[in-house]
Amino acid sequence: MRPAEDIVSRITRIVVTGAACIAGGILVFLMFMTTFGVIGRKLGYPINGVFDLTHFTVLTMTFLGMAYCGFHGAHVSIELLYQRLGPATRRILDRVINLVGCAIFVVIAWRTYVQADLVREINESSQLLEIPYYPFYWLAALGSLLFALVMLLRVFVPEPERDNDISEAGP
Amino acid sequence: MSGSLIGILALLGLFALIFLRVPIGIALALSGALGYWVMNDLDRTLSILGSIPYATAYNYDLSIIALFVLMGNLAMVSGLSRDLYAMARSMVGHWPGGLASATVVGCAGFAAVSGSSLASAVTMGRVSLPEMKRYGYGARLATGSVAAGGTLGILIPPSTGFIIYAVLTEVSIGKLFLSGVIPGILLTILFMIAIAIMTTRNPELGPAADRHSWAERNRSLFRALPLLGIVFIVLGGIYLGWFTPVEAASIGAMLTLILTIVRGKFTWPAMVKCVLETIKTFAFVYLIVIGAFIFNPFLADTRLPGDLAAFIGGLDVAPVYILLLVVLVYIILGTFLEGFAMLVLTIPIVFPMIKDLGYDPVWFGALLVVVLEMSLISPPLGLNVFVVKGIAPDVPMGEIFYGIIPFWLAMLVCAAALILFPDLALFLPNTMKG
Repeated sequence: MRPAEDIVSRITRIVVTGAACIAGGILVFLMFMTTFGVIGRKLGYPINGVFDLTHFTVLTMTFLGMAYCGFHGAHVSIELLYQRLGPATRRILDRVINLVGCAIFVVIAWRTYVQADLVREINESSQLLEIPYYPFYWLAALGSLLFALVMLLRVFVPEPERDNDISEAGP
Repeated sequence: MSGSLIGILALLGLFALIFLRVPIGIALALSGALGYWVMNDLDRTLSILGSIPYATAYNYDLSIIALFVLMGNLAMVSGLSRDLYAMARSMVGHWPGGLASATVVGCAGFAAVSGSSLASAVTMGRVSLPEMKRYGYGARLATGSVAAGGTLGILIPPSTGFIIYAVLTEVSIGKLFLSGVIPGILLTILFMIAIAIMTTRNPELGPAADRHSWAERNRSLFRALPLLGIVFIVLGGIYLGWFTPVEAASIGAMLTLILTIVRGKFTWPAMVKCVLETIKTFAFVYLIVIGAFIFNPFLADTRLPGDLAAFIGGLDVAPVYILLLVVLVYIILGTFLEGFAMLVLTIPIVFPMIKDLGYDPVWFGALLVVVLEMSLISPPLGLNVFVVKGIAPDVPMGEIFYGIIPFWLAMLVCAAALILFPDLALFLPNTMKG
């Protein structure tokens, strides 16, 4: 790997891992919040807004975790035809696929950002806690853009061999 | 061009993209977006791309995936899988083929805290394969029992298969989870019967291991009890209506975390790894769901699923034959499509048809998951077989596939039992409280 590619790769790794760590912190918060929500309800002290907050935590975890997932190549793809292609064709195909993926997520990021303005204008917010939606649209746009950048990186720096860590990724 | 024709072309394009190794979520999003564009106009397409990803992630039910995956990952860290196997081994290990049966029971137990077949196969395989090798078990039986036992991960709740099915069809996740309990136990017993038949025909396949004393059995049972307690609280809580599936998932993850701490297995690096793995899996599932949520409304717009359902419904054929045909198609698809992909790609078309035929969506979910399990061990792409190959690299692939045949047949018997006796899946969901 060339030095410039190495630096870009490293920076990307740091950024996506940082985002995933925040998402992880939110996951732990969700676990505590929901559990204490149940305990509170059973004891007659319900916590207001758990339902609302759960929606926002899921949204945040999703968009902050997507780039990390993309960076580590944790996605489902079928390799049946791919395996029959020559190495050069595979490389080209990989680049085209990543470029297409990047393009579609750039569009998603752009349109989500535009949507944020519309949501802001009409002052849309959550039902119970009345948390405005638009900052979360921004977050969704940012997460999509980060995912697109990871795919762009993969156009130039191929995905390293996958490690043997078995997570629960997969059915 | 008619809507249905556009739908068919979009499906063909989608399959072409998937077979060219485009990640399924991206293939779905791309085909869906292009399809919208053809059916409507660019403005509407762009507006959908700006709203659907957000709306999909703003979802209360999706939090179940993250919480149950966290619970499963924590269970792996805490060494609970080892305890489960040890318990099963001390109970049935001395039977002929007993270590293979213990593997299956251990997998079933682990499946009750993990939603993933791969995780179940890996976790139990690492513990049980060396033990079976030590006692001179035939490689076919040893690897077959791990690959097949692992598939219980998506049938016995919590199950990512059920969650995806629920998200795509809006069927109750709680009911779906409960629909997997009895079939999961039935399939575990069928696997054990298959092992007994194999070892009766050829005793050298699975020699009896040492018999553990009752004191040892009680000790191993005692060590596995906390995990069994968590399973009962989680599933019992859903069944009795004490809490929603999301709350059950939270409580399950929290209790597993406490157990990990109590057992002295908690370290910050392990916890961070656990949480990051969970986020990775969660985002991975979401990427597929977002693609499906862009593609499926487009497909519905083309009226292909509705037209197909109307056509099938109009045929002068008993619904059960159509159902059998659907199952057969799934079994064939399962030989070359990955389980998640199969679910996401087929549900929008198959589900309206099944509902039109009058079948219960919860029951069909359970049947579908059993068929997905078959795909996980079907050649040439059975994922669990590759996982087992990773743990036992010295066993040839052909041997492993040969070894899974009896288990595959047991799954077929389970699917047949579900078709003949729908109450196996529906009894618990129909009697659940709340």
